[in-house]
Amino acid sequence: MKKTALFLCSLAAFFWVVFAMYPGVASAQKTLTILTWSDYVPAADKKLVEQAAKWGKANNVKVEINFVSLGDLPAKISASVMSKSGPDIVALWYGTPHVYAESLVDLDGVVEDLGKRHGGWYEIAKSANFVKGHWKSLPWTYLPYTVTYRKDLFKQVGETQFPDTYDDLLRVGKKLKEKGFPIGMSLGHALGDANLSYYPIWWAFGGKEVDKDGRVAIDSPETAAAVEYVKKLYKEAMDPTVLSWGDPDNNTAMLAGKISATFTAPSIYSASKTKAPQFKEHFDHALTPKGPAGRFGAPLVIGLGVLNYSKNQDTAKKFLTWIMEKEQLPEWIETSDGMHAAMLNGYENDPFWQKDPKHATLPKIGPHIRTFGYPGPPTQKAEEARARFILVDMFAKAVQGMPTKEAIGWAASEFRKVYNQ
Amino acid sequence: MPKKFPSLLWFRSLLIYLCILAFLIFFLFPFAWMLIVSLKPDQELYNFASFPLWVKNPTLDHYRFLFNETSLAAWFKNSFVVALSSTAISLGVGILAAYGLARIRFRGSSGFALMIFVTYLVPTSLLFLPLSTVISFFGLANSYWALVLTYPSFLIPFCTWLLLGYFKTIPLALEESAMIDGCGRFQAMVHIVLPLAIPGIVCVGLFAFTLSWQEFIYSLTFISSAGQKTLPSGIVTDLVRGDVYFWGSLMAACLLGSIPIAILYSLFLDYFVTGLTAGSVKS
Amino acid sequence: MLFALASTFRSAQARLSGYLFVGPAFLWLVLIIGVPFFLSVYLSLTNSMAGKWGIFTGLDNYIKLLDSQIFRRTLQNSLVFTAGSIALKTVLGTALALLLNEKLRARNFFRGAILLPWIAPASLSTLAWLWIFNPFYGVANQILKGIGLISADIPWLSTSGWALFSVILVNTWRGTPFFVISILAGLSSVPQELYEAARVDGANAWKRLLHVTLPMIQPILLIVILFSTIMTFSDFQIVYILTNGGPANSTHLFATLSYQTGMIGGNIGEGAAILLFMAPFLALLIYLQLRLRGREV
Repeated sequence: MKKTALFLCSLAAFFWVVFAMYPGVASAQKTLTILTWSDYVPAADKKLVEQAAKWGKANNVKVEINFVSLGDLPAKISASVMSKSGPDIVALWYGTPHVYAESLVDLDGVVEDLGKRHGGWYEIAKSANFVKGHWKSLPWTYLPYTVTYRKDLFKQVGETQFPDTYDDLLRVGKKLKEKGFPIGMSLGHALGDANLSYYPIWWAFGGKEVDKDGRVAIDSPETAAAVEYVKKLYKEAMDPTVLSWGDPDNNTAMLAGKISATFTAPSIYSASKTKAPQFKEHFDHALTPKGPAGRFGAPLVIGLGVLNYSKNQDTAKKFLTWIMEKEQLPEWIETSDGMHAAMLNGYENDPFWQKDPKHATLPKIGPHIRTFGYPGPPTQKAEEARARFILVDMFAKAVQGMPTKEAIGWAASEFRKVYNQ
Repeated sequence: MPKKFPSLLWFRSLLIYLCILAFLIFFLFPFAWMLIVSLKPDQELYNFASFPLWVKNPTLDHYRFLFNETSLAAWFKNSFVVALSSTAISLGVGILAAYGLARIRFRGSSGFALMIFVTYLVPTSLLFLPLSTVISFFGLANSYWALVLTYPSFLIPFCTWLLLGYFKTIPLALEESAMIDGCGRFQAMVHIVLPLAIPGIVCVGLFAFTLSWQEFIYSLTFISSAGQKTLPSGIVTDLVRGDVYFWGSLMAACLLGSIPIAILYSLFLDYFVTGLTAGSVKS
Repeated sequence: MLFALASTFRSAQARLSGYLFVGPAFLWLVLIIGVPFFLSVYLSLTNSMAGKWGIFTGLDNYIKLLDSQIFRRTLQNSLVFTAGSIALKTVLGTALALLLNEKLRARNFFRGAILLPWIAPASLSTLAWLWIFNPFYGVANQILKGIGLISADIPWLSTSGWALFSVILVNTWRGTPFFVISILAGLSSVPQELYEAARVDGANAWKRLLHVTLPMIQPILLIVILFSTIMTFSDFQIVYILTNGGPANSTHLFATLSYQTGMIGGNIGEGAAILLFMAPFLALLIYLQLRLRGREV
């Protein structure tokens, strides 16, 4: 008796497991699957799902959106590309449209039409998403990676505005650190913040990844100037623990009141409303400073591409056009509370940016954004070099005591390996 | 122990207990900390003035957030389904293989035993990259199959090895007499050996279940949708909402993720320990 | 004659059934371990990227790796990490096993309690350590400062030296219980008569430890050390979660570097090559294990 019971139980368990593993019966309705990242502002994701459902209902399409964390996105896309099955639309970060160009559908019609009707695209929209003569992905949005700083602390050291040049930043940062409120940008292997903070600094000093012939050009006096600068900045103005910071740590530090400024996507101000209300009115945004070679912003750009194995390419294109329209995009941008901006000139003066004066600066970084690989185009090699943290580690080694020349030599050698030169 | 100096004896005992206590604190502190942090409200958590080891106003908010706003329930289910399925498969295959090795003399059996031993020691972090290529190629990425097919790669050697040692301790006489009576090999195994071996099989099965539950790198590499992840990789990758760690909920999740196995092994602690050491001492 | 025929038939039948019994296991392992391993070798000799199969490039990846400071540093980290962790685990494990071997009350409770770090999923307990080591809110610094042991914060994860120490510490924390339990089992099989004989010979506790206990547990200790070395050397979770290889690659291990190169950077060929560098070390360790077991059996 016990044996039969045991047998039946295991049989039941077996069948339950088997059924649990199979997805539900496919519906007859057409389904559009989208793979995108888990937004830093969860409300924006909810709004996207809401909008997608609305469109889906009107067009008799079931829209399924899968949110994965940023770190998982490349793996997921690679897996789909390799097995030639998976989502119809994927979110493509930085310059990755260049990496997957061969697997993406041309979106020339969609993109040029939108450009015409909404005032034209930013330069960055093109460099990230336009590959070998075709628009390979729709420039969806960018996150204004700028400075978030504590106005009150800066006032304490006599500054009414955020320093506009890097030299000024060093001067003011020194004063702040002496008062116990250093600045801080991650020098560790943070998936986003590390590269996003230091590439623009490097570019602002004239650093170049490749020369016009495509050869690695990192070993230059300009790079040396950048390294010397960061060394000083670390010693005199920064929190020394930045070497261990992951992506959330600068946010944590700001919200804890431990640092006075950082480079970041504008999620801190948003989060302070619930996590650190005592600092909320003191937070403000500013553009990343100017260096000898100009002002540069970090390429936190996202495109939406259609995979060429998709059986719903036309439906996908229709959806992509729809979400960029006046009725949808501004609403989504608004829900993101300043985290998202559009790369279309027509949306730059959207009233949302004026509603809260602290948001006013954010969209101004748009024209200054460049992609990894600058001044060359964003290529798979540039993305690979970024993924290896070579530039960040160069600075990290220098601030820990390695002579500038040696650090640059190391970085150049590693860059060359990636570029096969 | 010589009973010459009873006070010295007492002092010695005290010293021993103190040392063990020190070790215990070292080993158990992180778990106590998980509990404390999971019950601390945000205001206390991110407040430097408050005493870290005590919770003034315990809250269940973090747990609520976990269950309402994250895929924790899905991760539990996934971990459970995957662990159960891979354990079932590995036990089945392992029982067959162990029995075959223990009882049947055939050419290549020592070679096969060697192969089992070697694969037992091959770490999963050696194979995750080529396996991910294979999994993606067959379109199995992000599905239960990706894990259920690959987990047995480390569970089968494990089960086979432990069960082999165990079967060897079961006397041959019973099967022999059954086979003389006309019973086949397979029937002998099922009707005679298996019932006797149930304690060992249960122990090995539990072991395999915990190994599967703890697995991380395959799950991280093959599964990228939040709803499909298992507990270890889900908690690590999805409770960090990009820029912000939700520490309270993170610790709550870690605690919840460790509890099932802790309960399991506390129920079967003796089996566990004998099984663990049998594998290392006996064979 | 008939008898001989019957017995050969029976042994042939035995052979067949033998193959049938071990067949499924054999097939599974060949497919899920053997094939990926050879695929790994193949990939490491190509320039395959994520999403596209590459062309044969020979030993290019290996040459590049040996030339790369990041890789050489990873090799160094692996050796330091493994040696440091194993040494600590052996010493602490033996010490605690000896302590627990005494006749104690609640001995079973202790045995069960200390197993917790080993039972809990490593990724989850490592997250707890990440929070404990946090530069702003970490309780480690708070407590140490509170009891006056240190005056300035320890940069647990922010400097190269401390970061490596911290990952060794967490690995030790996680792995020592396994050592303890195994050594305890070994200790319990040491016959009491040996101790009695030693005592009669006038050996004190320390001498008894050195000349009776340690030699008796040496076999199990060696097995456990070898097994743990394999697992420690190929560790992934602890470094991935605590430091992601940083600061400046000072904590990267083979597995984490391969993950960063292959899965995040997309360079599958090079990622596979990094992993294969582990193979000779692992093969040596596995071989040593085999010899040990062979000696026993």
